[in-house]
Amino acid sequence: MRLSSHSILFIAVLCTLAFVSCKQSNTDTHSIEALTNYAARGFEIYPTDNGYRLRVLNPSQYSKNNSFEYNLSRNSQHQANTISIPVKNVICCSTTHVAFLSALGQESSISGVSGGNHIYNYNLQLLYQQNVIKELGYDNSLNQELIISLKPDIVFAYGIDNRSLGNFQKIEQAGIPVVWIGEYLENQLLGRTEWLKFFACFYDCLDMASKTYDSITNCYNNLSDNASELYNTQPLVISGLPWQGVWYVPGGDSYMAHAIADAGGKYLFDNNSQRESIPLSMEELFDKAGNAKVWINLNNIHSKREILQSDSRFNKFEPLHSAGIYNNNKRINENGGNDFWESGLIHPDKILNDLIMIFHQNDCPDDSLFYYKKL
Amino acid sequence: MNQHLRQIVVFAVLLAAAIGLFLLDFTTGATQISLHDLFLYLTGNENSEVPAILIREFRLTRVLTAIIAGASLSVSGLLMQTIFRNPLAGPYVLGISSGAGLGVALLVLGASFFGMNAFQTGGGLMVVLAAAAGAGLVMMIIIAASLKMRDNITVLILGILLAAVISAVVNLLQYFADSFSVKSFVIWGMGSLTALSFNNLSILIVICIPLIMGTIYLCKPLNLFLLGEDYARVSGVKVHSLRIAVFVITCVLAGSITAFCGPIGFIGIAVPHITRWIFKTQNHFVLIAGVVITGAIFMMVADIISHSFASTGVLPINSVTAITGIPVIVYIVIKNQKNYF
Repeated sequence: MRLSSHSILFIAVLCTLAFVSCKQSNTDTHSIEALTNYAARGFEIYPTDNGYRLRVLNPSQYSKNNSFEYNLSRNSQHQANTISIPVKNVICCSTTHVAFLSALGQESSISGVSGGNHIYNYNLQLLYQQNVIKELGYDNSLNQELIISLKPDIVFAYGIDNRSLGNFQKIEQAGIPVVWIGEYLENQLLGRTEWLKFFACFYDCLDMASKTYDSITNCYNNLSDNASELYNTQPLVISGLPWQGVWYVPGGDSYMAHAIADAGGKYLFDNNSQRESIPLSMEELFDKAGNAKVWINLNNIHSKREILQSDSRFNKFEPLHSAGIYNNNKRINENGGNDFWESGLIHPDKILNDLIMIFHQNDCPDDSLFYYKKL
Repeated sequence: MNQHLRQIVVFAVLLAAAIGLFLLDFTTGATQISLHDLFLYLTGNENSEVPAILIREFRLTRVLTAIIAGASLSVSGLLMQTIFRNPLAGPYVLGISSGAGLGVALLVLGASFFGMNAFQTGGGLMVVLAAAAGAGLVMMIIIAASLKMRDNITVLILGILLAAVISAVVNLLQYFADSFSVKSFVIWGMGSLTALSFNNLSILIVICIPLIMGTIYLCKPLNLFLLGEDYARVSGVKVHSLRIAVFVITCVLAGSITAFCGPIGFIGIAVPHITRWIFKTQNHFVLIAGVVITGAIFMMVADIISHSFASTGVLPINSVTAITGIPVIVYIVIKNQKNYF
């Protein structure tokens, strides 16, 4: 049988695709046992003789049964499909990634970021303003040429959907490994924090990260246990603020719903199993939230006056007058960068402590809170 | 049955359907509110278990907004299709929606560029004012152009070009804005009938109802215009004045609805076609009244659909109008492959 040149080309493309697919998901990780995660569900770490094999599971909001694997090796110079560790030059496509590297003391390895003006960390903001850390843009507008010219060892990226995963194809084609981070999909504060271990593998400092994480976990659990022992009442809690008549409330299985429960509060919409925010009509909140004792996380609002400005109907919303209203924007920079979304990832214990104070102390004073402030 | 009698019967049926849908839409939503509660509210009886604010500020406001928005956009669409002699013309073809979008983008995304946010800079009312200002700016450009240019198609092209330029500016603003502001802008773009307070609705009623009623005076010249511009001119129609009147009415109607509810697509294009199909006429005396009632019905149906999934939240009204509007228009186009213009 004689194959035409087109057929040969077709078979070659198929083989290439098959090879690429294998690299993406079918690498054998069964022979090695993964380290046990405490709360995170989005990654697995397999220690190997020379480093780690990492697996990221379903890193985008809509992906199912999708995984990516990365081989990290301490002596892998010029070895194909392997990332040489420790890495020295990285790109962060989210300020949350910056927070993890900052906690590991590896800020100096960051050469570029997306949305740098929202970095709260003072030192990193200074480096950004001095153009030592470059701005790379977002999503479709990602400056891929600049990324490639910075010659990073890896790019820490996140994907909301498959399209955003596709934005990084050219960078991967240029031989720069793109590492998918899905910490925002975790449904526990401690699960989000546990990604510290994942990041630590790239800097070969997993032991240090594990100890840090264990200490944070102990602190968090102690606070939660104390809250359930000391306080008998569970104040009814609502979260968020409507926009154009639609109120996006955290799902009942979201990290915020779990955090409220851990802090001894009763979240109004905890009777569902959704991780994502749920769009509800404002009418439903007016109907159901009248007895709410605490109202938290009101986007970028700074005062009760601004709540009324956002919608005059709030004048007749009972919690505006009777509930304790606290927003998580006590620590923001001049560009609106909020430390709650940055260092808050590494300090779930501080977030929990704030929530316990808010839920159980009458008229909680601002100076006793770290991320929250009273409106 | 002669055509006149048939049209009266159709009107009666549509009116009955509209009343039925009003009642159905009123009882549809996340909260259990019955017609008995409405009756108690309207008669000033305070024995209802449902707080008056839920009935007045949310449910009644939402349903009345649906009626006003549906009627206004449909009238705008009909006027545009007649004046441009183009079945695909709609209230947003002149760039009004884009102009409103630019106003909101400058407020929501531009404020973010300066480290502020839409709430800090005035909240919901500011969004309405920004959208109205954006739509008004485009409207003035279009009207100024129509005073200079005699050709409708040139004005149409200008509107499309304006929309393209505005879209580019909005893209730039989105590029520099933070994710929260971009999300806010995207949500505004999905449209909403629930964002209005009763006071907002009152403003909308004061603007839209007189304008819709005023279009009755345009029916005769519009009917003559359908027979050809020259024929209309010979018959005594001041074509230039008619065109400016249509542009002003369309811009104010569509601009006001967009300012308060966000852009709501497909109603303006689909409803005039549905109405012509139902009434089998080109007479604007019938069509204006027809699109008012059909537009209200269409919008209430969309609203009922968007609130029928209360357990999982609210569907964006713009998506519902597109999903329900497009199949209808495709059906009509295929069924009646004849040119109205």
